[in-house]
Amino acid sequence: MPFQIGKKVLLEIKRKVDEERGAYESPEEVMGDLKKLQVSLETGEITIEEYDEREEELLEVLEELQSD
Amino acid sequence: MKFYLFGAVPASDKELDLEAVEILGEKREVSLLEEGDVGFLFSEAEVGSKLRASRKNVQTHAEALGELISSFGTLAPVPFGTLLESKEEVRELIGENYDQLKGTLTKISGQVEFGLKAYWDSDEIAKIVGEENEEVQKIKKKIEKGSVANSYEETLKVGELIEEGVEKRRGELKEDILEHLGPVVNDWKENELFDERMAANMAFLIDKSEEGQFDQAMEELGETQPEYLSFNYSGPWPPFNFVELELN
Repeated sequence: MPFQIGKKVLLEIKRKVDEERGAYESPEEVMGDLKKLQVSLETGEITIEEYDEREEELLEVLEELQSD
Repeated sequence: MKFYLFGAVPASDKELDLEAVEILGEKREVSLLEEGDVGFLFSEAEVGSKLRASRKNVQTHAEALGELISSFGTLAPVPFGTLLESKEEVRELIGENYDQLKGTLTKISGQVEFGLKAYWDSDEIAKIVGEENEEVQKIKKKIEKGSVANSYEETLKVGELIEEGVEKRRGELKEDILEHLGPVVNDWKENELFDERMAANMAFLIDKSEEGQFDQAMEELGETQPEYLSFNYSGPWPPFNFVELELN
């Protein structure tokens, strides 16, 4: 059960990053997803590799939003 | 070259042999600059004007601080990514904030922080709470039988009752945590619960000499908790949550 939820969070974040970068309207929203990702990592629902990959993408989106 | 800051420590007459720590993917020497009763720890590093707050960078920063507090006993940390241009700026930083730094170091002297996060599966806890709540069970049965006028409203009511029940569980867990750990800690803080999977997110300030008792209390707390909860307990760290430096 917990694994399904963790993957759901990961997939939702991936969808937002891959398909709808515009889905993020503010840095706070990206920060919120970074925190959710951190929970998925700390509960063992995703691997460090999965975390780092998604974090890299989210940080890029965050930097783009912050430079606007 | 930038000066990457770790935090303030009490000045010492002793000769210190500081070991290199890993930050930003490399082992780096740590230097100490002292002015009066206050010292500042830093490393020289080739970095851009802004550091990326990635998990890896923030974690190595925290681990480096963990090693440094073991050497100094007291450390007032600065946030990750605090950079200065020169040693002179480090000296000025101490000078301009001397009273605040000295006061903070006195306040946190010999104390360290431990973090405690508790997690649960949000679906599982909602199910447990729902099964234990008589009103929820009554409404569910009515909905199943089709004997309610507005099943949408009744479903919303079930949602609200479950949410209240989950919040109540969070409150009970917090009380339980404080009952076990309270006698050993000097102070505690509740941090933001930023995800429904989080049941608790707390920080504790304890005397470094009480680490053994705190571990014991943590172990006892863990033994009393239901299986659906998992704990993430970390430390000793410098007191991040108990130091609010507003440096000029």
